[in-house]
Amino acid sequence: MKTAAILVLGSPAPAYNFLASDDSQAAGCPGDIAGIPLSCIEILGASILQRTMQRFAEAGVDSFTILADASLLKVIKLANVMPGWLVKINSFQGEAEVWPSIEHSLKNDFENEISNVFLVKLGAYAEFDPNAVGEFAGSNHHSAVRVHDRLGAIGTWLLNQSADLESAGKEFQNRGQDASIKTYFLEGYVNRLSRMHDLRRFVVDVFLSRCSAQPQGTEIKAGVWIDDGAQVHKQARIVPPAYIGKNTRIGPASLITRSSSIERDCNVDYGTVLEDSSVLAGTYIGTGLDVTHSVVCGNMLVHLNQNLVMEINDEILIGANVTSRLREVFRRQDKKAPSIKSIKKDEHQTHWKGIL
Amino acid sequence: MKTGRPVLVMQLPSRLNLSQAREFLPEVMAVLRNDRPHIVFDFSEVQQIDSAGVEMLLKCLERVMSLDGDLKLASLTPQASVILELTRVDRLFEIFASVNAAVESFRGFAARESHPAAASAWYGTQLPGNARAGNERLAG
Repeated sequence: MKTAAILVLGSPAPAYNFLASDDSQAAGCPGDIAGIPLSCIEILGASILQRTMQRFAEAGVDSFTILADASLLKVIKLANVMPGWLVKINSFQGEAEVWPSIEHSLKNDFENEISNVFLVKLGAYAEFDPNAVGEFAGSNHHSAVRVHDRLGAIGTWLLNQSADLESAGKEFQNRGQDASIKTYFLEGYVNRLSRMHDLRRFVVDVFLSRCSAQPQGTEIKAGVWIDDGAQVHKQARIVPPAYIGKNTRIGPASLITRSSSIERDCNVDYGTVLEDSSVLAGTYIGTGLDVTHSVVCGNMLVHLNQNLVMEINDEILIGANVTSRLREVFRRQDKKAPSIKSIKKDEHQTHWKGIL
Repeated sequence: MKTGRPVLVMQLPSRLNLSQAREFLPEVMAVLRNDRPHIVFDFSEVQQIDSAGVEMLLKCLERVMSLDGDLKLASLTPQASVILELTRVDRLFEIFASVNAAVESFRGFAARESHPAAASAWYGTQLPGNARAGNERLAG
């Protein structure tokens, strides 16, 4: 019995951003970074998309299809989401095309002798056993099952060949629940990642083993994970729990403390303190700074205590990491891309290495 | 202790970047001729501040301190507050919620009016009785 998964990455327009609650909108904290959903951004070395695909693969899912908004595909590189995996990537243009393209993929899967398809509206990170959902549907002869936690739907459905796609489509588009779809309640860890606070909460929960996700890299001492190629100066101090991503450089006299995480290709300069903060990939943090209760991504700083999003246009303080930007330039030059000058113009789209 | 010196309140521009700081710094330096100047920087309109703006603040503070005066900050916007915290400059200044509170703080003991806890700590270590007790403890 073959099983497939269709993962839908919507644009962050409100129509798709069904997980962002009203209170988070009011707080002024975004559920995306410059239009890129948090589920596509690397957190502790892997994105939620990658972690979700890994979970499905471990449960024996054979085929993966990613459906993404065309505007999103211009910014993120889904081709190398899982190196070595065969993943079909399709795009759709705008809200009106979402369900027709899902329906097309579903019919395509069912024609290829796939009996069960998981439909996942990406956003939330949820820990559940896909096989348990399959057993629940199989033993009760349900053709369509939605996955719920105690707060409501998490945007995951299991559909088989006899499922009513019209009612599934209605539910997918947030037009009310349909009685023909049964509910599977999960009791595992769920993080809806609807705003930046949730991103930090996910990092802390992973560090404190409140969920089964693990940081990438090697745990060099209790609570300190360091990924390949990271350089930590001998005079830098890292207080566990902490995560240092691939090819990241931590300068002398810097202090990483209180569950802080630094993703790949970052540079934390001399004497800077990172406290209860996450630095997303490809970011430079200047000399002698005090970064507290924040998420930093390129030149954007989100202060979680003050619910404030700031763009700091001063590369002496924070900005894109030069080394990662140069690497991007060289990569583009290999592909006979335009000159460095023209790349600089759209650097805000290219310097974040944490997106896929 | 009372002081009758005038307090100069200066409104900072909305963007405190390199070009604005270059324009603003001579204006401040021009008024820093008298002894013990009392200055309040009003941040209520500051929406953007970068490292040049922070450097300008430090230059002003250095100059004011060299003249035995004081420079206080008032009405910080969240943006300015985050940058000052980020650059660790916030701990160098007395910061007040409003310009009036900052001006009033020059009229008496600043520490007592701005931060009662800080004031009591100051008295606790500086009063002769306490100093004697501390010395006695050290001697013991």
